[in-house]
Amino acid sequence: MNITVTYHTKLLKMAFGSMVASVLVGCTAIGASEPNNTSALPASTKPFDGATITMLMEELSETQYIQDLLPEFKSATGITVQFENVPYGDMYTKLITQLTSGDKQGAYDAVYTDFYWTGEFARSGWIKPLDDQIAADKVDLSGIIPALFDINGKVDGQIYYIPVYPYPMGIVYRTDLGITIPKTMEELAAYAKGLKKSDFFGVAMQGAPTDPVAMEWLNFLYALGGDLYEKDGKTPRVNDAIGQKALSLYIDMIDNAAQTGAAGANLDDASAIFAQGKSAMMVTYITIFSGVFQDPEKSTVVDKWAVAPMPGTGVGNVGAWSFGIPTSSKNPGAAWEFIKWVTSEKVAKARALKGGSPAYTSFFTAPELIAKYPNLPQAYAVLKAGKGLPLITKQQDMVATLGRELSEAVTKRKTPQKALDDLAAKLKELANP
Amino acid sequence: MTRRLPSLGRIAAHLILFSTALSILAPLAWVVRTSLVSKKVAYLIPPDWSAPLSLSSYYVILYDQPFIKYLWNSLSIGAVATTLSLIVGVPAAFAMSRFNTGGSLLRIGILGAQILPAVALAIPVFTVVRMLHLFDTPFTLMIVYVSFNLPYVIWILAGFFAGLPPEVEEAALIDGCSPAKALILVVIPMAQSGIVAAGVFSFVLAWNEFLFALVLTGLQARTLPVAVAGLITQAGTQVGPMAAATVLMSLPVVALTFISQRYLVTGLTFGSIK
Amino acid sequence: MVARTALHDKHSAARNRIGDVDKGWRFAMPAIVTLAIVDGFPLIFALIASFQRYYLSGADKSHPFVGFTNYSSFVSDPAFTNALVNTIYIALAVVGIELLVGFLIAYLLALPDLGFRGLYLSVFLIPLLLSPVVVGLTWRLILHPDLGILNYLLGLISVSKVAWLGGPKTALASIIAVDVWHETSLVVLILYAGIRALPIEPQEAAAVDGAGPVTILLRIVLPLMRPIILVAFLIRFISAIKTYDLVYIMTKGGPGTSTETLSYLIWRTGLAGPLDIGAAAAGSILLVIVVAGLSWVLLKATEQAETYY
Repeated sequence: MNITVTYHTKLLKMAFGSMVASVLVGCTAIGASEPNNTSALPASTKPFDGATITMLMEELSETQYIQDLLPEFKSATGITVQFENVPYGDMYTKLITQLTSGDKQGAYDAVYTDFYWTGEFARSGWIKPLDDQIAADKVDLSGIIPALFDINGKVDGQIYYIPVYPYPMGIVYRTDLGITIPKTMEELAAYAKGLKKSDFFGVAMQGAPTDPVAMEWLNFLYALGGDLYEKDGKTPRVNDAIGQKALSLYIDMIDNAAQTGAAGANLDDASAIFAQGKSAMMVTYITIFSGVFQDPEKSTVVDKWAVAPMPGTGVGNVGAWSFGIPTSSKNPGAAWEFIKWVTSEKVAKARALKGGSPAYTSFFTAPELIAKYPNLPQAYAVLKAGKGLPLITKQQDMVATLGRELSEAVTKRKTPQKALDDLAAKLKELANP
Repeated sequence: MTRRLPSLGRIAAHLILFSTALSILAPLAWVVRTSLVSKKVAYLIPPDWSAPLSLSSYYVILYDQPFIKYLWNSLSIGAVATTLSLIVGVPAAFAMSRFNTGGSLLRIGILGAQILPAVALAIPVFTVVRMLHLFDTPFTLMIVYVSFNLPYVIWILAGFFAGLPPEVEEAALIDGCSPAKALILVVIPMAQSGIVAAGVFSFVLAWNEFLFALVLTGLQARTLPVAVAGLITQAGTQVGPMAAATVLMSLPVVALTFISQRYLVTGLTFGSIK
Repeated sequence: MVARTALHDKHSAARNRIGDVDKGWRFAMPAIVTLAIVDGFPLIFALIASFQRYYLSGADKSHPFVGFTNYSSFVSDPAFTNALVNTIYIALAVVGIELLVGFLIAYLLALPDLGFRGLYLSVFLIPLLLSPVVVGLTWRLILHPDLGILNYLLGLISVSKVAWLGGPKTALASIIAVDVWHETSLVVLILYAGIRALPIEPQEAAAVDGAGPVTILLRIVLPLMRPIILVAFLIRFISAIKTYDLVYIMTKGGPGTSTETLSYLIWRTGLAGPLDIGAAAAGSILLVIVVAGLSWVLLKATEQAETYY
């Protein structure tokens, strides 16, 4: 029995040890994840000194620019800001699960909101309206481009979010190959097809469902003068003659002008194609990619590209990210301090100097910014001409459905007519619950 | 089979086995290679074979992001979940095979627990986790993974125990041991292979799990699969660092399996034969 | 299983001698309780929610009971039929290929005097250890139309580039191929174990009688292996029906909905755009019923096969 006794003892020790360990690890982890909410002395100018707030951010260059400036915020207010960075595709699900937590139960103190979550979050009662606080603290928002508040700021007349960073879409094109952008969409399609050679493509496209193709195609729709809904915001018109033309041009370009596999390419894939010098043009987010296209580590087209609006009406898709305060926030006061700081003119300018997308009207004419980023005035023209999305409640569903149906048409699983008709039927449902 | 295979047959056999092995190793070798060149070279097609090796991608992973922390999370969660699964599962498997506890009904119930799609469980589990204020703690994932692992552990071990001769236990019982003591002192040592197999299986399952880790953790308890998936960004999948993270994430389990390989095959042998 | 009947008798006898059957319940209780709580609760929640109008967002927070509406709308949506067809197609293709390839590999590995057996086994074990996330990302990298190594290599032998994940048929085939790459090892392990455990006598007797290796394989080995093959089939089939991770990482159900599986559709309904928990719950219950039903059938078939021996 000797050997087995030793084995027995060993086993018991192991079991005991691991149970202790599990409790310890569990305990320390719980300890570490609770926010540090010490209340400050009333006389302090830093009422939230020592607090820690957390928010979910997209893993993108703009987030990095803000992160670089955070130490300044901490020394001014004593608040530590923690970013949880995830890829875009995971954000919506993670946000939903936290926003539905109930009063002061959520993990995120401020919420970084994309422009097609605006209506849904606000109307579900998950976001605090900010009008009172803006008035109380006398926050001056007049410098921010007003149109951004329609895209991602106001819902039903109240301000729920403060815009942080717009992302207009337009065309980027190579300047070293003698490219000129034609005046109409039909000409653009023909031109792009003509540019395609065996290893070089007329245009880098992103036909993957659901966000890439939806965002890209909206530019085609708007450039031809079309829209998702009529002016009443309830009757779909996406399947009218203009919509059909937009779709057939789009499919034509995917098949005959774009890179191999464009039908399944996402933003990342398509940008890599352009950055590697393999395409003449790309319809994309013209302010985000300054960083990537100008980075010698990732790009072979540094200083060889410029920006232009869409042909035709010149109207492109414009989106924006904004910050709001969820009702489930554990520390709305500290969150509000952060929002005021990050959207202030000073900080916005610092971000823009790093390469971020400016939200303030004045930035697009500021000499120090234009010196660094000569494409800015052009970008502003594109932004001003651009259009956001209808503010129905189920925007996310709208965009996802749009992307899916478009992809079905692009991959020839449905005829363009059928895809648009099915889409229109669903859009009608969504706008008229 | 006792007859020797004719040489032609052996060559054919080795050819097939070798090419299959190659088809497994080649993609992995490519990932390893991608992780060992600079970020820019990692993207290049046609590949620049002469590019110098570089550890820059690994530096990015380990220093720019708290990968050490995620590694520790995955490790501790996996280890604890495995240990708990075994502690709970061994007696259960023993009871089911020796005493036929619960009969077919329990067997089916355990089988049924494997069937549930993770998606169906995610939302209710999240709701409860939130109510108990256990969001973003390693403890939560440990418990969740124990419940994922138990059906497999029990299944493997029950089959294994069924294959063990009962005489040795009986001898112990006759000597005056209680069934519990008999289990611990006699059966478990005999069932080493099965237990190691079940343990390794559990650990790998916990190590690789994705959906629940994504939904139930934030920054503190994040595990490797979530962190690795997080390297796909809108503005460029960081190919080099992603490959490095993939390698880092896979090495521990590969090493673990090589070490316990002997146990694994024996253990799974008995286990898969009900 | 071959030796089961004899052992089973021994165990019954042992059981009677050991006596106290209640002890068994004490041993099994912790496991049963854990499973009941962590798996049982969500199941009950899903069951209840499937009969309610339950949306995560929107101003109306009530959850009125709506009978079978969720079930009927889920099933009548063309996306459901599409996902069902995809799921079954993937499951059958994946399991079929894995069984064939797996058996071949297992058979070869079990040959006597095979050199390097340990080495081969070690290599074959590797894919099993990899997370679906790792597998999905690796293959996405390799299958990239312009920046992936596969198309480059194909180009070297003058095969034109294929957009593997960009076309509906190729995307589905790619998912199947990657799943096979990932999971065949499990089948190899199970079948290898089975072959090793086979009694040697029938095969030797047949050899003495002059039967060739092929005849031995078809007439003796395969029939004896039926129960194990069924086990392997069962395990893999249940797993394949639930396919989700690979789709999420590699194609997100696309292009269009050509690679959308039932699990992915359920996720999409509940936690993506629609946020329709009621419908997602209904879908989950349906999936559970389908899988449970299939498992029951296969289990019965396995037990029946066992009684031959």
